Amino acid sequence: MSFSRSSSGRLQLADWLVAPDNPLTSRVMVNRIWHHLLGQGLLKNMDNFGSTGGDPSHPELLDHLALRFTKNGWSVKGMVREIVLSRTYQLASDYDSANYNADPDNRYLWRRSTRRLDAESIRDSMLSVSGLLKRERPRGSAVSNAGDRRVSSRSQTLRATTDHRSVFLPIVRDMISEPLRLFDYAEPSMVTGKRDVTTVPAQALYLMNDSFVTRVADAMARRVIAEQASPDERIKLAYQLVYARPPKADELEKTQLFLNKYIAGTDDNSQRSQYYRDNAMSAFCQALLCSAEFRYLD
Amino acid sequence: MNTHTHFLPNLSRRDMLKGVSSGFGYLALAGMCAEAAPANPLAPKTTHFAPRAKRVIFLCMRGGPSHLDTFDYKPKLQADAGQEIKQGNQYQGTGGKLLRSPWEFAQHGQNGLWISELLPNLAKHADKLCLMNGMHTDLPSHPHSFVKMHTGNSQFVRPSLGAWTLYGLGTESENLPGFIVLNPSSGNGGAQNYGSAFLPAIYQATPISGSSGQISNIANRRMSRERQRMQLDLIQGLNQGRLKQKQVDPNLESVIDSFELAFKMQTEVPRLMNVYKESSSVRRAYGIGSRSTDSFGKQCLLARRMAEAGVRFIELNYGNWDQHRGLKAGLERNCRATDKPIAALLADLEKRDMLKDTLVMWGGEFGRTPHGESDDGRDHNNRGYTMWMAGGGVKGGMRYGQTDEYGFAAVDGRMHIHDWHATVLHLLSLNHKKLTFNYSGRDFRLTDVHGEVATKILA
Repeated sequence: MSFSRSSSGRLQLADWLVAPDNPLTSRVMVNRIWHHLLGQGLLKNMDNFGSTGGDPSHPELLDHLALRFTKNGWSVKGMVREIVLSRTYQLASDYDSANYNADPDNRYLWRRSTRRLDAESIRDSMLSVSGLLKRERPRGSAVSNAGDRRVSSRSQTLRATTDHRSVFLPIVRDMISEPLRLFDYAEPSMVTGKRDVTTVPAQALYLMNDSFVTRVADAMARRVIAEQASPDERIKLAYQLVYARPPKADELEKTQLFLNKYIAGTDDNSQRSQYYRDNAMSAFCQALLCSAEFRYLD
Repeated sequence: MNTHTHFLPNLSRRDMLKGVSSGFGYLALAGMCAEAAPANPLAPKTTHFAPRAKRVIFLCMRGGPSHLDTFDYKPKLQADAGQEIKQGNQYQGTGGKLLRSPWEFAQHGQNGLWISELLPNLAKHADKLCLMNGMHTDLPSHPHSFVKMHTGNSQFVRPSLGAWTLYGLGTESENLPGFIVLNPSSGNGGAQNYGSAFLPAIYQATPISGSSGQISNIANRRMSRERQRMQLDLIQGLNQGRLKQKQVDPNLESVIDSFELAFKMQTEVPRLMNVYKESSSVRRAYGIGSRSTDSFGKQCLLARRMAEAGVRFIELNYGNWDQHRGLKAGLERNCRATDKPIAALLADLEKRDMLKDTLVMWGGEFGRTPHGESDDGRDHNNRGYTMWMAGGGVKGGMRYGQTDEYGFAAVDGRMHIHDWHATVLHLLSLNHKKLTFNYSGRDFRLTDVHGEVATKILA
């Protein structure tokens, strides 16, 4: 490939990227789409398709998808549709001891690997179950409104968030908001094919103590109280909202026990007792939001 | 999964799960549950060679402290003050009149180190200090040099020295983060200076704002401890139910552990961060309670407490040392605020027999010019400046390197940021050429392709 000294070479680069005899671009893209949908790429290494990057688990499948991708006009939507209609995508995460012993890492995709939601989804889900989520687009952008200034002088306005979807949050390098940063949002200055998935006490502290989470829990409690009359129906609705399933018998029992214990000894009319009676349901809702099942997808 | 070329202990999955259940709650899983979970990335690791320093306390002096008025005595500067000089580099002005230091220097300690009268308390510890008078860096701009000091690179986002340290050594504290930065800078790259970049996120710093700040979300404002325990029991009950159903789930085990650890941290961290747990005589020694020294005194005392508790890399921040103007008043104020606390920290570490394996480092992103920017200010100088180190296997009572007769450019024992980084890693028993991480198809290291260990300063 050559180009004249007076041109930048960008056009030639673009042509090479999508040339029919260049297998790299389509394979990398298809691998990333697969990773986003199934939680792990056919080649685990998102960035290195060279000889040191490891081997794909299903090389023929990778090539097949890459070819279909290019034949279908490089349509990402088309590839997504193909993959989600496949049997592999629709597998459950159920444990099976024989399969597990043969392939504990699920390299050959005998089941759907459990995956943790990404930071944006965790926040959006919390807003959604509590009824707080604003589904419309926000007007304007905090970043463009901040104008041309040093970041630190505007940190208050840039940190202020509304209850819109996380995709609309201001993203300022070196100042990523806490709910995103804590749950492994991709560092904006780095090329990130695959996000880390960390499990650290800072996340637990956030879920247990942060005012955003308690606000969400309060709103969720108000919602279940408004929509259902009896305590048990309220509990069941809460599980349905957060887990998309009703509580199991022992979970219902544990919850009732918790609520009883929480308001034990608050029969008097003191402010403190009133306070605990008022936020018992919120404390329960928060417990659901803290639990692993809320943010781990099966 | 990114490969670690650094030495890691060889654990089977069974061992790892055992380790997780016994309470070491930090677990970074680079990938999903399906992958073979690596050994605990924060477990203490064996080093490349025999350890000297086991932990670092970095006293970061933001703004570029003037070496000419503190640790680099230039009698010729005093003598020739007032003379015009052509000085500077292609990024700044072309010089000006040589500005004498308003302060007297005297010799201290067994080896007669020259230290200015601005630092009387620290001067008493001259025998502990290794003054690196030959420092130099690439650019005289704050953002570039501040970031370069922390990460070794000013153009790309790279892991910080603290993150590399954690990556290389793990941490000894179960209840605390391994890398803590007090009073972090929000400018000059902000979080980038304390970040992990392409290293696993678990190695980034935990910031604590101000000298009385706390770790974010350490306290629950709504519930008593008993009620929160009830709530946590419900959470863990749900988690355990799920674990039973899934049968094998290392992710879930670490979630369970992390919540227990967080609950513990809610009482342990504030206890650790409470300087008032120390006796009044100790607090007084650090200058806590006196207006000028209270803030940095608290930081220094916290650093000692954290070091004792096993935190691996502690960075304190004090500024602003950027005296383009108001040199006399500014330096006096800054030195008054930091001299006593730092001296107390050194004395305290020594008393607790911790100085020998704690590397204490002092410095800013660059130094200042011998010529005045006015008759009471100095401009930035990246060509020559001073940092010092003490403890942790460093020779004390020593001066390494020097600048020219006016203190502008380092001419001898020159130590670039990369050399400093290589030396720091060496003191931590890590070979800077072998501490690598594979990212985006190649191995990276803190010192890139540079850096020489200053063997002369090793004790």
